[in-house]
Amino acid sequence: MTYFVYILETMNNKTLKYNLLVKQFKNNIYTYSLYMLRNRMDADDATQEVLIRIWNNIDKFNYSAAKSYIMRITHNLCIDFLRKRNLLINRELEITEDIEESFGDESTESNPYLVMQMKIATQKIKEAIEKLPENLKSVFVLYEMQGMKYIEISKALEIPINNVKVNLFRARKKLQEELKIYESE
Amino acid sequence: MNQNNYNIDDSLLEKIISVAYDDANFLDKIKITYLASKYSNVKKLLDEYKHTANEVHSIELEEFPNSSLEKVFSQLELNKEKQPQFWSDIYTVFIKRPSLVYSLSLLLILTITVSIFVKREPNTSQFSKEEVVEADKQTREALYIVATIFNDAQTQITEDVIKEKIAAPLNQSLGILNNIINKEKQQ
Repeated sequence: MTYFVYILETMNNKTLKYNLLVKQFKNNIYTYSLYMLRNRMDADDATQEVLIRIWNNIDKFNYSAAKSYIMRITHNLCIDFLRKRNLLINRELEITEDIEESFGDESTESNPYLVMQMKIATQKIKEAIEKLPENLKSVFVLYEMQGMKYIEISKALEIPINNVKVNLFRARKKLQEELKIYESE
Repeated sequence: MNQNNYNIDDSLLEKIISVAYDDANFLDKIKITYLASKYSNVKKLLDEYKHTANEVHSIELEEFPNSSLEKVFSQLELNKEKQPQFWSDIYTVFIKRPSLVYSLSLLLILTITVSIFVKREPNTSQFSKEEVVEADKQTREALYIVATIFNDAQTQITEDVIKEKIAAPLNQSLGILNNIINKEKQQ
């Protein structure tokens, strides 16, 4: 048991528990939603909704499996969002503005050409990830970007571990193919 | 490097990708590194995947905006909620629960320390000097008696038993045999 889980389990104060959980997982929820929904506004709404659901279930929480549980709520909510708003059809990526923001400060300090090259490379990768099919993308983002283990992803997405492994392999392969298409363009 | 292309099937491709993304097992790493050093097509593929993996791993999590977080907090009215249990939580987390563990650990350490020191006390003799001298004297006397008995037994065996009971009859029987042989030769 990690010290983080120990603290959460021993605390009586609901608000403090919630604050710790939010601080720990808010960016994970937001990033996952952003890649799944491909839209900052929707990702923002989805994250807020997940945070509210966490608060509503704070007393029934299994803290040792908190990440899997939270990512399962996030995944299910994203799927609902996609169904409701008919976003399964490819939408234009709206993440470019964020990349520009994150590189904005560095450009004044380091080589602007290198910064631009990095920006383009990262943008390409992000766009390629966004273009992955939902089932591959969810596994890829959770494993590669959120650092989750196979078993945690299996619990979060409610699929067998073998499917997680197969989807991860396919996602990596597909991503490489997407990047080759970019290069040829 | 061998310019011939190595046949890359799905299984090998999976291993190459795992090595590139740094989650392959040790044997696969060795195998793929060896193949990459020998075949240019394997090396090219491995390098491409490694490049992508590095790019992917360098992407950081997106920051959830504070303004949105504030919205959630205000919706849940968390800022207005009093926090009377703050100090009790601090006490529980850092003192109450760990204190049991500390106490048990301290008890265990004390037990081990005491047992070590008790066992290390030197063994003191329970007999006086006179008693030890007397015991030594009695032991010598006992050994002397045993030695005397062994000596007598040896003398009796070598002088009485061997000479009278074994050597004499043996000598007599050999003489008889000798006479018989001589008589047969004369005939």
